[in-house]
Amino acid sequence: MAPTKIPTHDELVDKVTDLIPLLRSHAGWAEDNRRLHDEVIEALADAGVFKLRRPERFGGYNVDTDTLVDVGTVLGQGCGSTSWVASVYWIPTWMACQFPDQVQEEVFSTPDVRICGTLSPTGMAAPTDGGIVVNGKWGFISGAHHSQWQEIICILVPPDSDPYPVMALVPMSDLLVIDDWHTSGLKGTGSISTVAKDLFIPQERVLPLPTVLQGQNSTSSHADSAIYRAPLLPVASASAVGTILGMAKGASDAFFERLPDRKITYTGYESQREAPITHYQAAEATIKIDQAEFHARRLATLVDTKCVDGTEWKLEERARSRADVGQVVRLAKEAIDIFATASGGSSIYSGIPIQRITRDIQAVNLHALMHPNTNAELYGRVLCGLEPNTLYI
Amino acid sequence: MSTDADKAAVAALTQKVVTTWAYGDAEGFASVFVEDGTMILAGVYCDGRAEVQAYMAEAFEGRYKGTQVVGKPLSMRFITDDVVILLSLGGVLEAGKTEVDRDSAIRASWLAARQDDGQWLLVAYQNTPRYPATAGGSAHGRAA
Repeated sequence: MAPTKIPTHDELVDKVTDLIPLLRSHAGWAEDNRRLHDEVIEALADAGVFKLRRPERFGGYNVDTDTLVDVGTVLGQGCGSTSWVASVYWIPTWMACQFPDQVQEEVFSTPDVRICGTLSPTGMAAPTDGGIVVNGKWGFISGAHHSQWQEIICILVPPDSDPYPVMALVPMSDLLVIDDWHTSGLKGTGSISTVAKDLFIPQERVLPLPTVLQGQNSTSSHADSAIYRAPLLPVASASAVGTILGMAKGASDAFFERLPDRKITYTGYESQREAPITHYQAAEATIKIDQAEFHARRLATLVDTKCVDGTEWKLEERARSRADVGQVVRLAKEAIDIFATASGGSSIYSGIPIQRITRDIQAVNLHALMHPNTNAELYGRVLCGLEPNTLYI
Repeated sequence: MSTDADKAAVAALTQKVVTTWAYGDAEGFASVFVEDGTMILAGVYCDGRAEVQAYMAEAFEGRYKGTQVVGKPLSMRFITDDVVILLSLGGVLEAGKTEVDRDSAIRASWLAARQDDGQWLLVAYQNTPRYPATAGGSAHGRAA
Protein backbone atom coordinates (compact mmCIF):
# COMPACT_ATOMS: atom_id res chain seq x y z
CA MET A 1 0.00 0.00 0.00
CA ALA A 2 1.36 3.43 -0.94
CA PRO A 3 2.20 5.62 2.03
CA THR A 4 -0.76 7.70 3.12
CA LYS A 5 -0.52 11.43 3.04
CA ILE A 6 -1.75 12.28 6.48
CA PRO A 7 -3.62 15.57 6.70
CA THR A 8 -2.52 18.01 9.37
CA HIS A 9 -4.62 18.78 12.42
CA ASP A 10 -5.75 22.06 10.87
CA GLU A 11 -6.64 20.45 7.54
CA LEU A 12 -8.81 17.88 9.31
CA VAL A 13 -10.53 20.53 11.41
CA ASP A 14 -11.14 22.69 8.33
CA LYS A 15 -12.67 19.75 6.46
CA VAL A 16 -15.15 18.93 9.19
CA THR A 17 -15.92 22.62 9.76
CA ASP A 18 -17.10 22.71 6.15
CA LEU A 19 -19.56 19.91 7.01
CA ILE A 20 -21.41 21.88 9.71
CA PRO A 21 -24.16 23.24 7.39
CA LEU A 22 -24.78 19.73 5.97
CA LEU A 23 -24.95 18.16 9.43
CA ARG A 24 -27.37 20.83 10.64
CA SER A 25 -29.58 20.45 7.59
CA HIS A 26 -29.86 16.68 8.16
CA ALA A 27 -30.28 16.80 11.95
CA GLY A 28 -34.08 16.84 11.74
CA TRP A 29 -34.15 13.96 9.25
CA ALA A 30 -31.86 11.96 11.54
CA GLU A 31 -34.25 12.47 14.45
CA ASP A 32 -37.33 11.59 12.39
CA ASN A 33 -35.69 8.46 10.99
CA ARG A 34 -33.77 7.54 14.17
CA ARG A 35 -30.51 7.08 12.25
CA LEU A 36 -27.94 9.13 10.36
CA HIS A 37 -28.58 10.03 6.73
CA ASP A 38 -26.44 8.14 4.20
CA GLU A 39 -25.23 11.49 2.84
CA VAL A 40 -23.86 12.35 6.26
CA ILE A 41 -21.96 9.07 6.45
CA GLU A 42 -20.50 9.70 2.98
CA ALA A 43 -19.50 13.22 3.93
CA LEU A 44 -17.80 11.99 7.09
CA ALA A 45 -15.91 9.39 5.05
CA ASP A 46 -14.82 12.04 2.54
CA ALA A 47 -13.57 14.25 5.34
CA GLY A 48 -11.44 11.40 6.70
CA VAL A 49 -13.39 10.99 9.95
CA PHE A 50 -13.33 7.17 9.72
CA LYS A 51 -9.55 7.16 9.21
CA LEU A 52 -8.68 8.97 12.44
CA ARG A 53 -8.16 5.83 14.52
CA ARG A 54 -7.36 3.56 11.59
CA PRO A 55 -3.71 2.37 11.66
CA GLU A 56 -1.32 4.04 9.24
CA ARG A 57 -0.34 0.71 7.67
CA PHE A 58 -3.94 0.39 6.47
CA GLY A 59 -4.05 3.92 5.08
CA GLY A 60 -5.33 5.48 8.30
CA TYR A 61 -4.27 8.75 9.90
CA ASN A 62 -3.84 7.52 13.48
CA VAL A 63 -4.10 11.07 14.83
CA ASP A 64 -3.40 12.14 18.40
CA THR A 65 -6.17 12.44 20.97
CA ASP A 66 -6.12 16.23 20.89
CA THR A 67 -7.12 16.09 17.21
CA LEU A 68 -9.98 13.71 18.05
CA VAL A 69 -11.25 16.24 20.58
CA ASP A 70 -11.18 19.05 18.02
CA VAL A 71 -12.84 17.03 15.25
CA GLY A 72 -15.46 15.70 17.68
CA THR A 73 -16.16 19.23 18.90
CA VAL A 74 -16.73 20.61 15.42
CA LEU A 75 -18.99 17.68 14.47
CA GLY A 76 -20.91 18.07 17.74
CA GLN A 77 -21.39 21.74 16.99
CA GLY A 78 -23.16 20.65 13.81
CA CYS A 79 -25.19 17.68 15.07
CA GLY A 80 -24.85 15.84 18.37
CA SER A 81 -26.03 12.49 17.01
CA THR A 82 -23.59 12.63 14.11
CA SER A 83 -20.67 13.45 16.34
CA TRP A 84 -21.71 10.77 18.84
CA VAL A 85 -21.73 8.08 16.16
CA ALA A 86 -18.37 9.26 14.79
CA SER A 87 -16.78 9.12 18.24
CA VAL A 88 -18.37 5.74 18.95
CA TYR A 89 -16.76 4.37 15.77
CA TRP A 90 -13.37 5.65 16.94
CA ILE A 91 -13.55 3.52 20.08
CA PRO A 92 -14.29 0.04 18.62
CA THR A 93 -11.88 0.87 15.77
CA TRP A 94 -9.21 1.30 18.44
CA MET A 95 -10.42 -1.97 20.01
CA ALA A 96 -10.10 -3.77 16.65
CA CYS A 97 -6.44 -2.75 16.66
CA GLN A 98 -5.96 -5.00 19.71
CA PHE A 99 -6.56 -8.13 17.63
CA PRO A 100 -3.87 -10.15 15.83
CA ASP A 101 -2.56 -8.76 12.57
CA GLN A 102 -4.44 -11.23 10.36
CA VAL A 103 -7.76 -10.09 11.90
CA GLN A 104 -6.84 -6.46 11.40
CA GLU A 105 -5.98 -7.18 7.78
CA GLU A 106 -9.45 -8.66 7.27
CA VAL A 107 -11.31 -5.86 9.06
CA PHE A 108 -9.34 -3.02 7.51
CA SER A 109 -9.56 -4.49 4.00
CA THR A 110 -12.81 -2.47 3.83
CA PRO A 111 -11.97 1.17 3.08
CA ASP A 112 -13.41 3.54 5.70
CA VAL A 113 -14.61 0.48 7.62
CA ARG A 114 -17.02 1.30 10.41
CA ILE A 115 -17.06 -0.79 13.57
CA CYS A 116 -19.76 -0.34 16.18
CA GLY A 117 -19.52 -1.82 19.65
CA THR A 118 -20.30 -2.05 23.30
CA LEU A 119 -18.73 -2.44 26.72
CA SER A 120 -21.66 -4.42 28.17
CA PRO A 121 -21.07 -8.14 28.76
CA THR A 122 -24.61 -9.17 27.83
CA GLY A 123 -23.71 -12.35 25.97
CA MET A 124 -22.58 -15.79 27.09
CA ALA A 125 -19.87 -17.76 25.30
CA ALA A 126 -18.83 -21.40 25.44
CA PRO A 127 -15.52 -22.71 24.13
CA THR A 128 -15.60 -24.99 21.09
CA ASP A 129 -13.08 -26.34 18.58
CA GLY A 130 -11.23 -23.39 17.10
CA GLY A 131 -13.14 -20.65 18.87
CA ILE A 132 -16.25 -19.86 20.89
CA VAL A 133 -20.02 -20.13 20.43
CA VAL A 134 -21.96 -17.06 21.54
CA ASN A 135 -25.54 -16.32 22.53
CA GLY A 136 -26.29 -12.76 23.46
CA LYS A 137 -28.10 -9.49 22.94
CA TRP A 138 -26.50 -6.05 23.08
CA GLY A 139 -28.40 -2.78 23.37
CA PHE A 140 -27.44 0.84 22.61
CA ILE A 141 -25.35 -0.11 19.53
CA SER A 142 -24.83 3.38 18.12
CA GLY A 143 -24.09 3.52 14.41
CA ALA A 144 -25.02 -0.14 13.81
CA HIS A 145 -26.95 0.73 10.64
CA HIS A 146 -23.81 1.91 8.86
CA SER A 147 -21.31 -0.59 10.30
CA GLN A 148 -19.63 -3.57 8.68
CA TRP A 149 -18.44 -5.08 11.99
CA GLN A 150 -19.49 -5.08 15.63
CA GLU A 151 -17.28 -5.52 18.64
CA ILE A 152 -19.13 -7.55 21.29
CA ILE A 153 -18.47 -8.47 24.91
CA CYS A 154 -19.54 -11.79 26.44
CA ILE A 155 -18.81 -13.91 29.46
CA LEU A 156 -16.76 -16.92 28.42
CA VAL A 157 -17.44 -20.02 30.50
CA PRO A 158 -14.40 -22.32 30.29
CA PRO A 159 -14.90 -25.90 31.51
CA ASP A 160 -12.15 -25.83 34.13
CA SER A 161 -11.77 -22.27 35.32
CA ASP A 162 -13.74 -19.21 36.38
CA PRO A 163 -15.80 -17.38 33.77
CA TYR A 164 -14.31 -14.12 32.46
CA PRO A 165 -15.33 -11.44 29.95
CA VAL A 166 -14.02 -11.57 26.39
CA MET A 167 -14.14 -9.09 23.56
CA ALA A 168 -14.80 -10.36 20.03
CA LEU A 169 -15.27 -9.04 16.51
CA VAL A 170 -18.27 -10.09 14.44
CA PRO A 171 -19.38 -9.16 10.91
CA MET A 172 -22.74 -7.39 11.05
CA SER A 173 -24.12 -10.02 8.66
CA ASP A 174 -23.77 -12.58 11.50
CA LEU A 175 -26.07 -10.58 13.79
CA LEU A 176 -29.81 -10.03 14.00
CA VAL A 177 -30.69 -6.34 14.20
CA ILE A 178 -33.63 -5.27 16.37
CA ASP A 179 -34.78 -1.72 15.74
CA ASP A 180 -35.78 -0.69 19.25
CA TRP A 181 -34.28 2.81 19.15
CA HIS A 182 -37.30 4.86 20.22
CA THR A 183 -35.84 7.48 22.57
CA SER A 184 -36.06 11.06 23.75
CA GLY A 185 -32.43 11.94 23.07
CA LEU A 186 -29.59 11.14 20.67
CA LYS A 187 -32.40 9.92 18.45
CA GLY A 188 -30.35 10.23 15.27
CA THR A 189 -27.70 7.77 16.48
CA GLY A 190 -29.66 4.64 15.49
CA SER A 191 -28.45 2.90 18.65
CA ILE A 192 -30.42 -0.29 18.07
CA SER A 193 -29.98 -3.77 19.60
CA THR A 194 -28.22 -6.75 18.04
CA VAL A 195 -28.53 -10.48 18.75
CA ALA A 196 -26.14 -13.41 18.21
CA LYS A 197 -27.61 -16.91 18.25
CA ASP A 198 -25.27 -19.92 18.50
CA LEU A 199 -22.74 -17.80 16.67
CA PHE A 200 -19.31 -19.36 16.09
CA ILE A 201 -16.45 -16.89 16.40
CA PRO A 202 -12.94 -18.09 15.49
CA GLN A 203 -10.36 -17.88 18.26
CA GLU A 204 -8.29 -15.18 16.57
CA ARG A 205 -11.26 -12.80 16.82
CA VAL A 206 -11.55 -13.30 20.60
CA LEU A 207 -9.49 -11.51 23.29
CA PRO A 208 -9.73 -11.47 27.09
CA LEU A 209 -11.32 -8.14 28.07
CA PRO A 210 -9.26 -7.55 31.25
CA THR A 211 -5.96 -7.27 29.37
CA VAL A 212 -7.52 -4.77 26.96
CA LEU A 213 -8.90 -2.73 29.85
CA GLN A 214 -5.44 -2.72 31.42
CA GLY A 215 -3.63 -1.82 28.22
CA GLN A 216 -1.56 -5.01 28.62
CA ASN A 217 -2.54 -6.65 25.39
CA SER A 218 0.32 -7.89 23.24
CA THR A 219 -1.43 -9.87 20.53
CA SER A 220 -0.94 -7.37 17.76
CA SER A 221 2.36 -6.10 16.44
CA HIS A 222 1.11 -2.56 17.14
CA ALA A 223 3.42 -1.39 14.42
CA ASP A 224 1.88 2.03 14.32
CA SER A 225 1.64 3.73 17.62
CA ALA A 226 1.73 3.65 21.39
CA ILE A 227 -1.93 4.72 21.47
CA TYR A 228 -2.97 1.10 20.94
CA ARG A 229 -1.18 0.09 24.16
CA ALA A 230 -3.07 2.54 26.39
CA PRO A 231 -5.86 1.31 28.72
CA LEU A 232 -9.30 1.28 27.12
CA LEU A 233 -11.33 3.57 29.38
CA PRO A 234 -9.11 6.67 29.24
CA VAL A 235 -8.87 6.21 25.46
CA ALA A 236 -12.65 5.84 25.16
CA SER A 237 -13.35 8.79 27.47
CA ALA A 238 -10.96 11.01 25.54
CA SER A 239 -12.61 9.98 22.27
CA ALA A 240 -16.02 11.07 23.56
CA VAL A 241 -15.38 14.46 25.17
CA GLY A 242 -15.17 16.45 21.93
CA THR A 243 -18.71 15.44 21.00
CA ILE A 244 -20.05 16.67 24.32
CA LEU A 245 -18.15 19.95 24.23
CA GLY A 246 -19.37 20.42 20.66
CA MET A 247 -23.01 20.05 21.70
CA ALA A 248 -22.55 22.95 24.14
CA LYS A 249 -20.88 25.06 21.45
CA GLY A 250 -23.73 24.20 19.09
CA ALA A 251 -26.21 25.44 21.71
CA SER A 252 -24.17 28.63 22.04
CA ASP A 253 -24.28 29.14 18.25
CA ALA A 254 -28.03 28.55 18.22
CA PHE A 255 -28.59 31.00 21.07
CA PHE A 256 -26.45 33.84 19.73
CA GLU A 257 -27.92 33.46 16.25
CA ARG A 258 -31.44 34.14 17.54
CA LEU A 259 -30.39 36.71 20.14
CA PRO A 260 -30.60 39.99 18.16
CA ASP A 261 -34.15 39.43 16.94
CA ARG A 262 -35.69 37.98 20.07
CA LYS A 263 -37.63 40.10 22.49
CA ILE A 264 -38.57 39.00 25.98
CA THR A 265 -42.30 38.59 25.57
CA TYR A 266 -44.62 40.55 27.88
CA THR A 267 -41.74 42.68 29.15
CA GLY A 268 -40.37 46.03 28.08
CA TYR A 269 -37.35 44.42 26.45
CA GLU A 270 -37.75 44.73 22.69
CA SER A 271 -34.43 42.92 22.27
CA GLN A 272 -33.30 40.19 24.61
CA ARG A 273 -29.78 41.51 24.08
CA GLU A 274 -30.57 44.61 26.21
CA ALA A 275 -31.62 42.69 29.32
CA PRO A 276 -29.17 42.26 32.24
CA ILE A 277 -30.51 38.72 32.83
CA THR A 278 -29.36 37.84 29.32
CA HIS A 279 -25.89 39.27 29.99
CA TYR A 280 -25.60 37.12 33.05
CA GLN A 281 -26.86 34.00 31.22
CA ALA A 282 -24.53 34.55 28.27
CA ALA A 283 -21.48 34.92 30.52
CA GLU A 284 -22.42 32.07 32.83
CA ALA A 285 -22.99 29.57 30.01
CA THR A 286 -19.92 30.63 28.06
CA ILE A 287 -17.68 30.30 31.11
CA LYS A 288 -19.07 26.82 31.74
CA ILE A 289 -18.14 25.85 28.18
CA ASP A 290 -14.60 27.15 28.83
CA GLN A 291 -14.49 25.02 31.98
CA ALA A 292 -15.77 21.97 30.10
CA GLU A 293 -13.03 22.54 27.53
CA PHE A 294 -10.43 22.58 30.29
CA HIS A 295 -11.47 19.07 31.40
CA ALA A 296 -11.61 17.82 27.80
CA ARG A 297 -8.09 19.13 27.08
CA ARG A 298 -6.68 17.83 30.36
CA LEU A 299 -7.95 14.35 29.53
CA ALA A 300 -6.70 14.40 25.93
CA THR A 301 -3.32 15.75 27.01
CA LEU A 302 -2.99 13.03 29.63
CA VAL A 303 -3.69 10.27 27.08
CA ASP A 304 -1.31 11.80 24.51
CA THR A 305 1.43 12.44 27.08
CA LYS A 306 1.27 8.92 28.49
CA CYS A 307 1.56 7.50 24.98
CA VAL A 308 4.68 9.55 24.32
CA ASP A 309 6.50 9.03 27.61
CA GLY A 310 5.37 5.41 28.01
CA THR A 311 5.01 5.62 31.78
CA GLU A 312 2.58 3.31 33.54
CA TRP A 313 -0.94 4.61 34.16
CA LYS A 314 -1.53 5.35 37.85
CA LEU A 315 -4.88 4.36 39.32
CA GLU A 316 -5.53 8.01 40.18
CA GLU A 317 -4.93 9.07 36.58
CA ARG A 318 -7.38 6.48 35.32
CA ALA A 319 -10.02 7.53 37.83
CA ARG A 320 -9.42 11.17 36.94
CA SER A 321 -10.06 10.31 33.30
CA ARG A 322 -13.54 9.15 34.22
CA ALA A 323 -13.94 12.26 36.42
CA ASP A 324 -12.92 14.55 33.58
CA VAL A 325 -15.46 13.13 31.12
CA GLY A 326 -18.11 13.44 33.85
CA GLN A 327 -17.24 17.08 34.38
CA VAL A 328 -17.36 17.80 30.64
CA VAL A 329 -20.88 16.34 30.63
CA ARG A 330 -21.97 18.28 33.73
CA LEU A 331 -20.65 21.64 32.55
CA ALA A 332 -21.88 21.19 28.97
CA LYS A 333 -25.33 20.27 30.25
CA GLU A 334 -25.41 23.26 32.60
CA ALA A 335 -24.38 25.57 29.77
CA ILE A 336 -26.96 24.11 27.40
CA ASP A 337 -29.69 24.34 30.02
CA ILE A 338 -28.89 28.02 30.55
CA PHE A 339 -29.08 28.74 26.83
CA ALA A 340 -32.30 26.72 26.61
CA THR A 341 -33.98 28.55 29.47
CA ALA A 342 -33.06 31.84 27.80
CA SER A 343 -34.47 30.81 24.44
CA GLY A 344 -38.16 31.42 25.02
CA GLY A 345 -41.33 29.48 24.31
CA SER A 346 -40.69 29.58 20.58
CA SER A 347 -37.65 27.36 21.06
CA ILE A 348 -39.73 24.25 21.70
CA TYR A 349 -40.69 24.03 18.03
CA SER A 350 -38.96 21.06 16.39
CA GLY A 351 -37.10 23.22 13.89
CA ILE A 352 -35.22 25.11 16.60
CA PRO A 353 -31.98 23.26 17.45
CA ILE A 354 -31.78 24.13 21.14
CA GLN A 355 -34.62 21.77 22.10
CA ARG A 356 -32.86 18.88 20.36
CA ILE A 357 -29.52 19.68 21.94
CA THR A 358 -31.19 19.76 25.38
CA ARG A 359 -32.56 16.25 24.86
CA ASP A 360 -29.28 15.00 23.43
CA ILE A 361 -27.17 16.22 26.35
CA GLN A 362 -29.64 14.70 28.80
CA ALA A 363 -29.18 11.33 27.08
CA VAL A 364 -25.40 11.69 27.30
CA ASN A 365 -25.69 12.70 30.94
CA LEU A 366 -27.42 9.40 31.73
CA HIS A 367 -24.74 7.25 30.07
CA ALA A 368 -23.38 4.82 32.67
CA LEU A 369 -19.73 5.60 31.94
CA MET A 370 -20.27 9.35 31.69
CA HIS A 371 -22.71 10.33 34.43
CA PRO A 372 -21.13 13.20 36.36
CA ASN A 373 -22.28 11.84 39.74
CA THR A 374 -21.07 8.28 39.17
CA ASN A 375 -17.76 9.42 37.75
CA ALA A 376 -17.10 11.94 40.52
CA GLU A 377 -17.89 9.28 43.12
CA LEU A 378 -15.43 6.89 41.49
CA TYR A 379 -12.68 9.52 41.48
CA GLY A 380 -13.44 10.41 45.08
CA ARG A 381 -13.25 6.77 46.18
CA VAL A 382 -9.79 6.49 44.70
CA LEU A 383 -8.70 9.83 46.19
CA CYS A 384 -9.81 8.47 49.57
CA GLY A 385 -7.62 5.41 49.15
CA LEU A 386 -10.35 2.86 48.37
CA GLU A 387 -10.23 0.40 45.51
CA PRO A 388 -12.33 1.31 42.45
CA ASN A 389 -15.66 -0.56 42.50
CA THR A 390 -15.66 -1.13 38.77
CA LEU A 391 -13.71 -2.96 36.10
CA TYR A 392 -14.35 -0.01 33.78
CA ILE A 393 -11.56 2.32 34.77
CA MET B 1 -19.22 -28.70 44.35
CA SER B 2 -20.73 -26.30 41.84
CA THR B 3 -18.30 -23.81 40.32
CA ASP B 4 -18.66 -20.29 38.94
CA ALA B 5 -18.48 -21.96 35.53
CA ASP B 6 -21.56 -24.05 36.38
CA LYS B 7 -23.43 -20.96 37.54
CA ALA B 8 -22.55 -19.11 34.37
CA ALA B 9 -23.52 -22.10 32.21
CA VAL B 10 -26.91 -22.29 33.93
CA ALA B 11 -27.42 -18.53 33.57
CA ALA B 12 -26.56 -18.96 29.89
CA LEU B 13 -29.79 -20.95 29.47
CA THR B 14 -31.77 -17.72 29.94
CA GLN B 15 -29.59 -16.05 27.30
CA LYS B 16 -30.24 -18.91 24.86
CA VAL B 17 -33.98 -18.45 25.32
CA VAL B 18 -33.65 -14.70 24.68
CA THR B 19 -31.67 -15.16 21.47
CA THR B 20 -33.68 -18.03 19.95
CA TRP B 21 -36.82 -16.01 20.70
CA ALA B 22 -35.38 -12.96 18.92
CA TYR B 23 -34.84 -15.12 15.85
CA GLY B 24 -38.27 -16.76 16.15
CA ASP B 25 -36.39 -20.07 16.18
CA ALA B 26 -38.66 -22.73 17.71
CA GLU B 27 -36.18 -25.56 17.18
CA GLY B 28 -33.40 -23.59 18.86
CA PHE B 29 -35.74 -22.68 21.71
CA ALA B 30 -36.72 -26.34 22.20
CA SER B 31 -33.07 -27.43 22.09
CA VAL B 32 -32.64 -25.88 25.54
CA PHE B 33 -34.83 -28.74 26.90
CA VAL B 34 -33.95 -32.40 27.44
CA GLU B 35 -35.84 -34.86 25.22
CA ASP B 36 -38.58 -35.41 27.81
CA GLY B 37 -38.48 -31.88 29.23
CA THR B 38 -41.73 -30.12 30.16
CA MET B 39 -42.96 -26.56 29.86
CA ILE B 40 -45.90 -25.09 31.76
CA LEU B 41 -47.18 -21.60 30.91
CA ALA B 42 -50.56 -20.06 31.74
CA GLY B 43 -53.00 -22.31 29.89
CA VAL B 44 -50.20 -24.26 28.20
CA TYR B 45 -48.64 -27.66 28.90
CA CYS B 46 -45.95 -29.10 26.63
CA ASP B 47 -44.78 -32.63 27.38
CA GLY B 48 -41.44 -33.25 25.69
CA ARG B 49 -39.09 -31.25 23.48
CA ALA B 50 -41.16 -31.94 20.35
CA GLU B 51 -44.27 -30.40 21.89
CA VAL B 52 -42.29 -27.39 23.07
CA GLN B 53 -41.01 -26.88 19.54
CA ALA B 54 -44.46 -27.30 17.97
CA TYR B 55 -46.05 -24.87 20.42
CA MET B 56 -43.34 -22.24 19.97
CA ALA B 57 -43.35 -22.58 16.17
CA GLU B 58 -47.05 -21.71 16.17
CA ALA B 59 -46.66 -18.95 18.78
CA PHE B 60 -43.80 -17.27 16.89
CA GLU B 61 -46.18 -16.93 13.93
CA GLY B 62 -49.04 -15.78 16.14
CA ARG B 63 -49.15 -14.45 19.67
CA TYR B 64 -45.36 -13.93 19.92
CA LYS B 65 -44.78 -12.53 16.44
CA GLY B 66 -42.57 -9.45 16.61
CA THR B 67 -42.02 -9.80 20.35
CA GLN B 68 -38.85 -10.19 22.38
CA VAL B 69 -38.38 -11.92 25.70
CA VAL B 70 -36.28 -10.79 28.63
CA GLY B 71 -35.15 -12.71 31.68
CA LYS B 72 -32.55 -12.43 34.39
CA PRO B 73 -31.68 -14.82 37.20
CA LEU B 74 -33.28 -14.17 40.57
CA SER B 75 -31.62 -17.00 42.44
CA MET B 76 -29.81 -20.23 41.76
CA ARG B 77 -29.75 -23.22 44.11
CA PHE B 78 -27.75 -26.33 43.38
CA ILE B 79 -29.57 -29.37 44.74
CA THR B 80 -26.70 -31.65 43.80
CA ASP B 81 -23.60 -30.92 41.70
CA ASP B 82 -25.63 -31.81 38.61
CA VAL B 83 -29.11 -30.48 39.37
CA VAL B 84 -30.09 -26.85 39.87
CA ILE B 85 -33.19 -24.72 40.38
CA LEU B 86 -32.95 -21.31 38.79
CA LEU B 87 -35.59 -18.69 39.48
CA SER B 88 -35.86 -15.76 37.11
CA LEU B 89 -37.70 -12.51 36.50
CA GLY B 90 -38.78 -11.56 33.04
CA GLY B 91 -41.55 -11.61 30.51
CA VAL B 92 -42.55 -10.99 26.93
CA LEU B 93 -41.70 -7.58 25.46
CA GLU B 94 -44.35 -6.46 23.05
CA ALA B 95 -43.10 -5.05 19.72
CA GLY B 96 -41.59 -1.60 20.19
CA LYS B 97 -41.47 -1.88 23.99
CA THR B 98 -38.32 -1.74 26.09
CA GLU B 99 -39.86 -2.77 29.40
CA VAL B 100 -42.18 -5.65 30.18
CA ASP B 101 -45.83 -4.63 30.66
CA ARG B 102 -47.17 -5.25 34.13
CA ASP B 103 -49.57 -7.85 32.79
CA SER B 104 -46.78 -9.71 30.96
CA ALA B 105 -44.32 -9.79 33.87
CA ILE B 106 -43.60 -13.28 35.16
CA ARG B 107 -41.46 -15.21 37.57
CA ALA B 108 -40.19 -18.55 36.33
CA SER B 109 -38.68 -21.73 37.74
CA TRP B 110 -36.12 -23.56 35.67
CA LEU B 111 -35.10 -27.06 36.71
CA ALA B 112 -31.89 -27.89 34.88
CA ALA B 113 -29.58 -30.91 34.93
CA ARG B 114 -26.06 -31.51 33.73
CA GLN B 115 -26.05 -34.01 30.87
CA ASP B 116 -23.49 -36.73 30.21
CA ASP B 117 -21.70 -34.47 27.73
CA GLY B 118 -21.35 -31.77 30.43
CA GLN B 119 -24.01 -29.53 28.91
CA TRP B 120 -26.74 -28.05 31.14
CA LEU B 121 -30.30 -28.52 29.79
CA LEU B 122 -33.80 -27.77 31.05
CA VAL B 123 -35.76 -30.63 32.58
CA ALA B 124 -38.79 -28.53 33.51
CA TYR B 125 -39.80 -24.91 33.04
CA GLN B 126 -42.82 -23.19 34.52
CA ASN B 127 -43.84 -19.56 34.96
CA THR B 128 -46.50 -17.54 36.76
CA PRO B 129 -47.60 -13.90 36.44
CA ARG B 130 -45.54 -11.68 38.75
CA TYR B 131 -48.50 -9.57 39.85
CA PRO B 132 -52.00 -10.56 40.95
CA ALA B 133 -54.60 -9.97 38.26
CA THR B 134 -56.14 -6.56 38.82
CA ALA B 135 -59.59 -5.35 37.88
CA GLY B 136 -59.12 -2.40 35.53
CA GLY B 137 -55.37 -2.46 36.13
CA SER B 138 -55.61 0.20 38.84
CA ALA B 139 -53.87 -1.63 41.68
CA HIS B 140 -50.24 -0.87 42.34
CA GLY B 141 -49.34 -3.63 44.77
CA ARG B 142 -45.70 -4.57 44.63
CA ALA B 143 -44.59 -8.14 45.16
CA ALA B 144 -40.90 -8.43 45.94
